[in-house]
Amino acid sequence: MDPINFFSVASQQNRWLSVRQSVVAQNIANANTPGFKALDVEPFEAVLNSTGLQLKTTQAAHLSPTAGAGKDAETFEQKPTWDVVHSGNSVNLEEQLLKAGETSGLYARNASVMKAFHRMILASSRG
Amino acid sequence: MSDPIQVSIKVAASGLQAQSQRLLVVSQNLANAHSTGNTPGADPYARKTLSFAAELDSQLGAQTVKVDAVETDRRPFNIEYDPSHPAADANGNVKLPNVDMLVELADMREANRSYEANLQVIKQAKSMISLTVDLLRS
Repeated sequence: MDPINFFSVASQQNRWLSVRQSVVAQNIANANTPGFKALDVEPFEAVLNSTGLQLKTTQAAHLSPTAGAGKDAETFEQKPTWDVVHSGNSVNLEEQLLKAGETSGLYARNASVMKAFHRMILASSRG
Repeated sequence: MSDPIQVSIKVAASGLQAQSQRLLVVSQNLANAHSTGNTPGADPYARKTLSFAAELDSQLGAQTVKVDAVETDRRPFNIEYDPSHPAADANGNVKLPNVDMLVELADMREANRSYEANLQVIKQAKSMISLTVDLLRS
């Protein structure tokens, strides 16, 4: 795989992960708000596919949007999977903390793979 | 388009703020759990309640939390027979605050737990930022 393409996919995924982290933060902040429905983001595949549709540059003068400049992942109300309390709040703290942990773990993994690729490129350019 | 990690820190900060307001209300209720009036038949301290509301912050594009309203509990006061009390009415009954220690302690625990969860979010967001910055340090 082309390493340059790898960097674009990796930074797209990091963007998606940070959007997901902010959604989890909203859920946790509103964990005691009556009537608040837990939010979730669309899966990464959907974001990747939607940003894959780009205008083709057929002339040198055409401007091409830079990779990763697509819109952020959509958020939607999550189906109440765990429990809904009497006040109508469907946020479950354990579930959200699990998600936050998973998100930051994936982010760390992504960052270290990026670092490894970066080292590779540096090694080859230093000769 | 603001940075989602910064947004999550700000949202979590609003959660911290709201939960500490809640702890303030709990502490007021606990401190005044035995505050009666001092004239015959006077009303004692009325328990305060607090509720939260989600608020869409258009600048952040995210739902923060804010304290919706601090109201007084409409539950009837506890009545105790104590003719020697300065707040006793003609029949010797004293109105005591409608504060239930158990409810307040449970509320305090929940506020504590939610506060911790928000702190955890800030910690994780900070570690994500430092991971990204570390990419430059190789």
